[in-house]
Amino acid sequence: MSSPADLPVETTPLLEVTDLVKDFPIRSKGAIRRTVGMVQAVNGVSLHINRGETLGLVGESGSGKSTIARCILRLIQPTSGSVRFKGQELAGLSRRQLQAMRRNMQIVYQDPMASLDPRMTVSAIISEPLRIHRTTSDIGARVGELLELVGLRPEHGNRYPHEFSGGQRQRIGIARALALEPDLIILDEPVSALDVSIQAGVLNLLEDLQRQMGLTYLFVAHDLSVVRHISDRVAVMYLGRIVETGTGPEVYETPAHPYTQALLSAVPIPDPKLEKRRRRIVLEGDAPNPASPPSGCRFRTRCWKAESICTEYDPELLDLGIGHPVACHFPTPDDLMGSEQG
Amino acid sequence: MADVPVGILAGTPSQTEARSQWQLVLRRFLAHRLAVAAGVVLVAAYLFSYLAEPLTGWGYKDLSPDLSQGPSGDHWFGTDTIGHDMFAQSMRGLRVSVHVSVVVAGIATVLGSVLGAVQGWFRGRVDGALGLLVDFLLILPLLPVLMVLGTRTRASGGSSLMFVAVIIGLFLWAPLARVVRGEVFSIREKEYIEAAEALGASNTRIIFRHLIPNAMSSIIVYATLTVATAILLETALAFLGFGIQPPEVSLGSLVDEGRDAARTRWWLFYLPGAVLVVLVLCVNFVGDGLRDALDPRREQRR
Repeated sequence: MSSPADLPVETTPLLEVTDLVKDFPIRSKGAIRRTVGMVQAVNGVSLHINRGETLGLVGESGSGKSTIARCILRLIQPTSGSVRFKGQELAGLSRRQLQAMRRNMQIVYQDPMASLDPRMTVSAIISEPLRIHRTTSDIGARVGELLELVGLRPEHGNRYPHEFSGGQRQRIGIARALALEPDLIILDEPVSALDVSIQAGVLNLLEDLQRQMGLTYLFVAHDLSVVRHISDRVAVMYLGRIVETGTGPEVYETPAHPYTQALLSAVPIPDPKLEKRRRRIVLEGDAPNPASPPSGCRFRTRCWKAESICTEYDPELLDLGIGHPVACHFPTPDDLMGSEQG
Repeated sequence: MADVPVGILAGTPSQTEARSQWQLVLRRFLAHRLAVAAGVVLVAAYLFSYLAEPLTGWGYKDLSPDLSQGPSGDHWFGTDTIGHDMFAQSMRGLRVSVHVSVVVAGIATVLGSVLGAVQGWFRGRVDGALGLLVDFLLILPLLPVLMVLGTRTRASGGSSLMFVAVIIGLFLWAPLARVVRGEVFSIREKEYIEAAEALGASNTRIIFRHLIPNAMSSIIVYATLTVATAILLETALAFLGFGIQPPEVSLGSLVDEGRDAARTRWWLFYLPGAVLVVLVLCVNFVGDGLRDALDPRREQRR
């Protein structure tokens, strides 16, 4: 995605997240549910999104991507940290204030079947935000408009979600999110549940809509190639932390964190010759239990570069001369393809 | 664009005009033959109960000189010991039973679904407080309580039938609240509920637009069962001398009175009994049809 150059330069980002932490208590079974531990789903994440751009948030399942998305929308209460939207702090807003705020922030879910009420017709689903916020008097016309906008027919409004294919359902979810013309749309793995053949259609739709309406996206995904396609900037997460962030080319062409390198080396290349020659990094084991993360660097248990310093000191997310921030003690920009190509 | 072309799902052009949700429900209900038949029987029987007197010439209070006669052209359902025309009595009883059960089931269903959904949605203290009330109502021996209330009201100027129905309704919502609460615990975790919250939906909206509609299957099953329960409960009360008092009759009281005569004068027991069974069965079939009609996902399965 290219961000339009003619947009006015704003000093404050549309969304600014600082030191966001979310712990989930683990409770014992039985009548008295003592808290026996904490899962640190998100551990001190900071990020910002400027108006009109797309930030891709990548990480394996359990890395805390969706938790961040829900904390931003305050669908779950963050343990600590600040979320500022248009310069306004969201923590501590009353229920009523939050409801008003939600007009400007919407979410599209991963599973379009689960996120659409099966008892409601498509019109009822799409008109719900309009009825809640009373933005328009002619709801019927607006619903028709929205359906056309996402590539469905207005007469489809009388049908129920189960009568549609996955891709079409996701379009319904997108129409619902667009209904209030929000500034920010959080896309929580919007294409992960779809067939590959349908993903492209939905991604193109999202890009078209962004261009037409000047939308800002937070695009959460575990699929690197999907994120590369749509994002201006990318943040890679591992176990509740951002380990590397930068513009698309910075992260994809010169990944410096070993985890990012490993992830990228697993993306297939549609050229058999290149595919055979390139270096592939295979990580050992699984991600550690987030209830008891390793000391120091969280990635050290699976890192081939790990040394004693990694056990003791947690690397901060800093730009150590690479050109973009990386949370690693030994960042080395690695041109995964270049070295082998020569 | 690799998406499925939208035209595939568009269907025939004639389907394109807007249909409201209720039209869809009605259409699906009409597709359910048994339910439609039961509904027709129910409505017809209810309307017919008003025609019984002009048609046969006997009112439910009238005493004919024919005592204890079997069914005949004059007395379709026969007569009892003191000469009541059993057909007139059955039709009167049908009407009374329908009124009572509709009021009871209506009150119990509305209270049970709303309070159960409120429990399941708010959890915590609200759930605890209402839960206590539900527990209390569930352990109360219903019949003695209703008898006490019946005597009380009779002392203060006579208990009308509807009053008894309202009281029964106020006691019967507790089991449904339990069921709905449990359903809501599962529905509330669904993503579309979170989606509604993300849209800024109020608690009221979530409860009435999302939680209750999605618990509708259980609610309707319970409502139809409650109709049957109400008829039986009203019968039991009548037997004990509360609620319905002679000369007023209900299907329950007729069956009850005819019980002893089942072997000798079968018509006194089996004919009103048959009306009662048909009534309850029809209500259940209509309930089945409603449940299916209100659930858009069921359409494909039948």
